[in-house]
Amino acid sequence: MSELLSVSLLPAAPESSRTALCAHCQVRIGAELLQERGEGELLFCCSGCETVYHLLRDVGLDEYYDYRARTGGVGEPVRESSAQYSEFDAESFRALYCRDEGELRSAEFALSGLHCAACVWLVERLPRVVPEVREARVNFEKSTVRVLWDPRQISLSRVGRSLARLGYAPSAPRGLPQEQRRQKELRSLFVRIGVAGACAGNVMLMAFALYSSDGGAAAASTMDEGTRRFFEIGSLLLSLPALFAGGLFFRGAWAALRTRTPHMDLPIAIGILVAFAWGALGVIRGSGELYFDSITTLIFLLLIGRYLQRRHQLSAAEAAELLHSVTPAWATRVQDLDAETPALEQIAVESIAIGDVVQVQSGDVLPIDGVIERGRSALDMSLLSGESEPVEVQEGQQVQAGCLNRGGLLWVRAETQASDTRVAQLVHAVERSLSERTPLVSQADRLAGKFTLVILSLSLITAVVWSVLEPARALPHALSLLIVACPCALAMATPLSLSAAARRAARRKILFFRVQAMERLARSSEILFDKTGTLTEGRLTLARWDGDPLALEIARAAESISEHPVARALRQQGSSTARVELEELREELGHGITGKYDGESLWVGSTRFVRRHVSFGEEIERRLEEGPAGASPLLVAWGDRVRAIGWLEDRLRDGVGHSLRRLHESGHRLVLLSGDHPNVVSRVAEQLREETRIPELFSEVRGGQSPEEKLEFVVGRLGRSRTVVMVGDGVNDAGALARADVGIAVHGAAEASRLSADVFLADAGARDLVELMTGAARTLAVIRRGILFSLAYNVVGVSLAMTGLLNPLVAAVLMPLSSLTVVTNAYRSKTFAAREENP
Amino acid sequence: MSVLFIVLPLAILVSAGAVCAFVWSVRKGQIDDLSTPALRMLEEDQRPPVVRDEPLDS
Repeated sequence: MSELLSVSLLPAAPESSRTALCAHCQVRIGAELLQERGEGELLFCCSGCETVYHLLRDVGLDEYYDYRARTGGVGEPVRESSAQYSEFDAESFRALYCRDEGELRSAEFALSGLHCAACVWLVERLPRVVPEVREARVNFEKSTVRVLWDPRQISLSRVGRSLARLGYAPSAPRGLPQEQRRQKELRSLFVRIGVAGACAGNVMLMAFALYSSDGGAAAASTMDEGTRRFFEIGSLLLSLPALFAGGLFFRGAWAALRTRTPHMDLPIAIGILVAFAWGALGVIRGSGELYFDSITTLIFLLLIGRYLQRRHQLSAAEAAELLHSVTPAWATRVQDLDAETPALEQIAVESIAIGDVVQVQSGDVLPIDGVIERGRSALDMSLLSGESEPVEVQEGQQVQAGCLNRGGLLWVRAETQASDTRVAQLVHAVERSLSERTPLVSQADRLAGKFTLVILSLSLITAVVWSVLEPARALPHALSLLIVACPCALAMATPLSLSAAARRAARRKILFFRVQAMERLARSSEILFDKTGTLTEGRLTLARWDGDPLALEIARAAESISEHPVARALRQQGSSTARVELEELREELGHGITGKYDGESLWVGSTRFVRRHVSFGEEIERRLEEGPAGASPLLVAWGDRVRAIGWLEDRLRDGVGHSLRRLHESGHRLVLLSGDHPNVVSRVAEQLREETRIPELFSEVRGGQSPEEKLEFVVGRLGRSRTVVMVGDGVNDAGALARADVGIAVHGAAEASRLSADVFLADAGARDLVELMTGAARTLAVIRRGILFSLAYNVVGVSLAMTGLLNPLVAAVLMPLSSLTVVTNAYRSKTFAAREENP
Repeated sequence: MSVLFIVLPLAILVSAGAVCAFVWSVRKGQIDDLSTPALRMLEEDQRPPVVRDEPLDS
């Protein structure tokens, strides 16, 4: 019985630990690939990079590498694509996105892959690669490029292909109507700023002259009456355009009055109008203080603050972009599929009607949800299910937008419209949450409302008190108070900080479906981890094969009919080289495969399955018991004898130990809750304890948990001092994820889990979890800082105004400055760090 | 000082002209992209090779 040999299938360690960097993208090339590519000293990680490298050399653009190094840019592997971009030549595309400029034409594309100054430089030098393109102009913020080319010399699709070859895949720009609206609003705001600024500057000049000639209360003015009147009337007239520019504050205040909700614009609007009225009165009467300089400066500075705020708020929702960028904008519609040569037309995805048949080529992404009308293929459904292993599909099956066609040509009959696909719904959920008024924000709004009322009453008191003490000063002091008080941190900074942090997080592939989770994450938590797929890779790999290598070939051949994770694990380790002939293969779902090999009955499957048909000897039993801990055995038996035992295990993800240690050190309690067999779970816990050298890493370890038990556990832990955070990926976690204080779905999560979670970590590994917790804590610190600053500023400012030490002009400058400080603090704070390169 | 009555309105007119130019530039979309020019600024001009007009041997 000692014919069982141990054959290790783990890859042998490379003799030299030399690694190389790809000459183009600087990514580390694994040892296995080193033999395959490269010539001489030049090595590339993929043929895409190799192509670009030679292309740049040929056209004399290899300065790109110096430039990139100088500006600290990062390289990324160039993904090769066979896309032809023929939709760019379509009439409908031209009508929507192109503009004629004399004999030339311009078109705007959305580009992917722009991430540094060197990329901008390279793309703008497209004319050197394609001389028929006269100009290429990048807009980095929108990630678009505008090309000016000669349509008589080349087609737009060729331009598209050239861009793709350089490593920047073009696509039709999305969200055009929103983009245009945004542009209009921002431009209008900017014009207002310009007008207000011009007025403020000129009024200030005149005010300067008036101040310098003013002798004060006692002495007479050194300016003659005529000139003085001239300046005064001039100031009044010039502040009128500024008042128009500042109209949006008045509108906001009016809306606040109508709905009887106190709003920040109210004191500002009142202050400005009262100041203007008083100043106008002063001009008519011929005496009295003028406040035109204060008003215009205030309006100017406030408009700047408003502009910055709107620009940020209206910027492309980056979280949605992640999902958006994976669905195509154009599709090929087929008329009359059964005809000799069916008519094909390129249409925008939005135009696909229910019942239309679209053609999806290999390598393309499905544009719509529907049913396969004709064709067989394999789809990569990782966008929706997290499974990157292609799933076979055929006629009559339902398929979804966002899946990648990895097989043959498919024809799909649309059953939804582009806006109703599951992917689209996911995108909407994310977008909605970003604009939701979270409890933190609503609370801030209410506080700001009360604050406004306090300000108004205080200014009234000030006016009354001072009109008794020194009537001339009553108005300026009340005015100063109205102007200087700024509840900005409360009303503005909190939502701004949250959304700014959420956008930073999104860039790091941490998507907040519910932004309020950020506040909860900042506290000390109890983190409940699911094991499979979360801490481990979620798929089985073959770690060891004890026995006849032929049995491995047989097992592979047998499992080829199955989609079971075990079958996939076997397929991953390479394909069969020897062709074994098996007959009558049949799968017993969840247990194993039966068949015939060489005339004898064959069994490949779990211990229990094989034990039913074949008797085990002592040797086999011993082997089974002594197998590597945590691994599941796969038995291969034929001719009434067990021929081999394969050991499959679900490896821990890279860096999990490190991340868990950091979380533990930050004071969180870690719990392991898994549906997997208790032995396997405790083995994994043990492994992690050893790796992190923290014996009490997990405060609890539970295996064999059903979805109901997981939910029960979560419920039992709620309401205590610690936030209950659940991290999971499988469908069996969905309930627990929804119930926990914060539910975190990880890369590879089933859609049900993703929708019930508050946060989605789109990248594999537990590193992002640590970043999530620290980022949330940092965000809350930023918010607190803003509130504290605003409080201090207001207390000081209001006191100064009430005691008469504050001049309206100074107030007019201080208030917007404080608001800008708070806003800058919100936007610029590094809450979530950008991702590290080449970890 | 009476010159002010002429000069000041003139100055205001010039100012108004500047505002008009500003509005025109905004309408043309010149302020739409405020972030990319910052990246372009990092480019260095190509320095032309130094041409030495001397015979090689002497």
